[in-house]
This record gives sequence, structure tokens and C-alpha cells, in this order.
Amino acid sequence: MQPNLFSRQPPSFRSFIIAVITCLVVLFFDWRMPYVIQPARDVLYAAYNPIYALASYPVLSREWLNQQTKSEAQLRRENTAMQAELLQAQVRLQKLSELSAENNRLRGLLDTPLIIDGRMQIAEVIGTDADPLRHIIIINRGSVDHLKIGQTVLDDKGIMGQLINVYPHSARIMLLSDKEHSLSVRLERTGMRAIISGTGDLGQLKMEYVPTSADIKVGDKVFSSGLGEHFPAGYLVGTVSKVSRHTSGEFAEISVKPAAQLASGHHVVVLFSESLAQEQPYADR
Amino acid sequence: MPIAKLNFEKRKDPLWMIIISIVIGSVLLIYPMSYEAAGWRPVIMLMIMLFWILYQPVWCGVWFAFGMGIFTDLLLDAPLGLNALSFVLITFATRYFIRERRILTFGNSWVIATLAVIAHITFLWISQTISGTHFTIARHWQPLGTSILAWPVIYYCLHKWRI
Repeated sequence: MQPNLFSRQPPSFRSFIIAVITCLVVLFFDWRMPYVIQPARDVLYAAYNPIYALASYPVLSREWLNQQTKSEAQLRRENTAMQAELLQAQVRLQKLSELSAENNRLRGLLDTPLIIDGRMQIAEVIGTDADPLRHIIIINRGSVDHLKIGQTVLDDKGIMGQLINVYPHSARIMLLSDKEHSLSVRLERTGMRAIISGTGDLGQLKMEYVPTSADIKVGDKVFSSGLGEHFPAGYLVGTVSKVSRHTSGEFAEISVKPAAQLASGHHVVVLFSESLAQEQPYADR
Repeated sequence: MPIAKLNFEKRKDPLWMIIISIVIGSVLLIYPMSYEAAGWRPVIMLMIMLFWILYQPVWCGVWFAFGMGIFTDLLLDAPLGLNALSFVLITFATRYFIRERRILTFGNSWVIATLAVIAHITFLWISQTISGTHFTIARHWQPLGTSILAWPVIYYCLHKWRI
């Protein structure tokens, strides 16, 4: 540091060199041994939680204002619509419970483990990762609510992603569309297995390693297959939106539109289901 | 001007303002925005650091830049030390080149800030190219414009605490 404001001495070379070397050492450690840095990152991340909460406060308060300023007529309308929706859902649920019972009976005949629908935890999205290259969101539940790394996160339309970091009062979710994310899937129509990876684009996923000869059409629904024992089987991932077969390539280029609202979801569901993940891949959904 | 000099010693202590500015800067740095809007986010931490380096050189030096850089890396989940290295290099270069003529009018500081932002973005661009992360050059240079426009705002907010 300069002792005098108007000193014409060049700034201290020694501390500059030491600082640069420290930077390089830290970079090297972060590159070769990230697990050394990770605890420090986790602690600091938990400490930054108030900043994320503060940053998300205007968003939350806008929602609160929206709730407060809704008119009675609007609420009535919404209530009616929701009751109708609930009725429909309940009717479907009756059918589903029957199917589920039948499925359990058949599984009993096949001597495979019973499927038990797990508990779930509803959480609120309180922020996104600051790095625009990553598709990571932050929710307001953490290890206090017994969340664990690797749990599946859904919204009302389909799979959103999985937990990658859990802090005491928050957790980070890697979305399906993140470039580093992949999951194993099965096509509903043909039962074909494939792998879906993120592209870095919120509205598009790509299906990889599908031979050009495969029977796949635009509009096919894609469900998680449960292979890899990471994601539970049978949840909607998306629909096939584009298939291009080049004669030169061995594999077809297939785009899948994610079913979950990756860009705009506000509430998410964290699934506690381990037995579903063990489900047999060839079992019908 | 002896009387003016007498009052000079009683100027406000910048320590709290430095801390508050860093906290506000970090909130602005991680404030959730849509993907398109986030591309325009100015490099706010760099500019806050540069302000204190220029106007409080007795308090803030190379190690202050290092600390700010590590803090930024942790907030952004960037490789630890990347921003710190860039901040340290910029601090040292700024110090080195203005030591002969410390006439920090607002215009001069604006030019220095512009050069610093260009240097920082170039550094990040080169390091990302080396590490194999690709994204469009247009998106990469978006923060330059907003950062240049943001400097007067930062100067206006903090100039009470300059020496």
C-alpha cells in the first residue's frame, strides 16, 4: 500500500507478486482438488443465503401484492375453475388408484419390489444462479427439511431437475437444460431407451445416441426410465419436437421440448422416493 | 488553505461505506434476472473495487482487490481465483500507470474505468477460450456498454467518501 497519497514510488512489487502467486495457487487448487475448496464454498454459500433471500424479496413481494389486490370476483372465478380441476383430478385419481392396485398385484405375481409413492416436499424458488451459463435455481428448503443431494425435483408438468447442493435453509437444483445434465429416458410409444442431455437452452433438450433407423416421431412423449437409479421411473420429461436424420451420421439428431416450466416455475416439488428409482425398466408405466 | 486542511482530517471514515458498497454490489451481482437481461449486467464488483482503489488508496490496495476477487468468484461460482487474478492485475496496472499524475477528475476516472472494464472482459474472454467454454462474442461484450454507463452512477453514489 502506498503510505502517502502523492508518493511517486511505484506500488509495492512484492505484495503484487505474492498476490498473483496466491491467485495462481488458488486456481490450481480449485482445478486439481476441488474437494479442498468445496467446504469453504459451502460455508460461504450458506452465509450468502441472506443475500439471495434479499435479492428475491422484490419478486416475492410482488406476488404478495398480486395476492392482496385480487378482487373478489376474480377469486370466485378462480375458485370455481380450481374446483372443476380438482374434480377432474379426483376422477382421474380414482382410476389411477385402481391401476396402481392392479399394478401392485401384478408386481406381486412377478415377485418384484412394491412401489410406494414417496413423501414430497413443496418448495419455493427463491433465486437463480448468478452464472448465466449454468441452469441452476435455488429453493427455500434445505437439510433442515431433510433434503439430500440427488433428489428429484418436479413441477406440475414434469421433471425439472435434481438437487446438487443442500445447505441448511436452501438448496440448489440443476435443471434438465443445464449443459452438464443427462438422464435416462424411455419413449412411451415404443419403449425405446435413450439418454437426454441439456443444451444450455431452457426450451430444448437433445436426445443422444439414437440410431438413424430408430422408430421415433415428432410428438412422442418421453418419460424417465429409472435406469441409473437416480431418477424415479415414469415421470414425464418432454415431447419430441424435431427429428433430423442425416444419412452421413450414425445417430439421429433429436430435439425434445421439456414438459416442466424450466424458465418460469415458481413452486417445485422435491420427491422423496427411493423405491421408485429401483423400478424395473421394462415394466410398463 | 490551512483551514480546509484542518477539516480534512475529520472526513468521514470510509470503512463502513466500503463494506456497505460491497454488500450492495454483491446483491446487484447475484440479483435474479432473465437470461437475456443478465447478459447486460455490468461488472459492478470490478467498478466498486476500482473506485476504492482510486479514491482511497491508503485503505485499499492489492490485497483488497484480491479479497474482492475471491468474494466475486465465490458468489459467481467461477473458478476460484479467476476474478481475483484479473482484479489484482488491473489494480497493479492502474497504480503503476497513474503514479506520476494523480489528477483524478471525474473524466479521467471514467477513462480509467473504461480501460479497466475492457481489460477485465478481455481477460475473462481469453481465460474462457483457453478453458474451452464457448459462448457468443456479442453476449460477452454486452457488459462493456452498461459498465461504462454505470460508472457515473457509482461515482455519484460514492464520491462523498473519496479523499
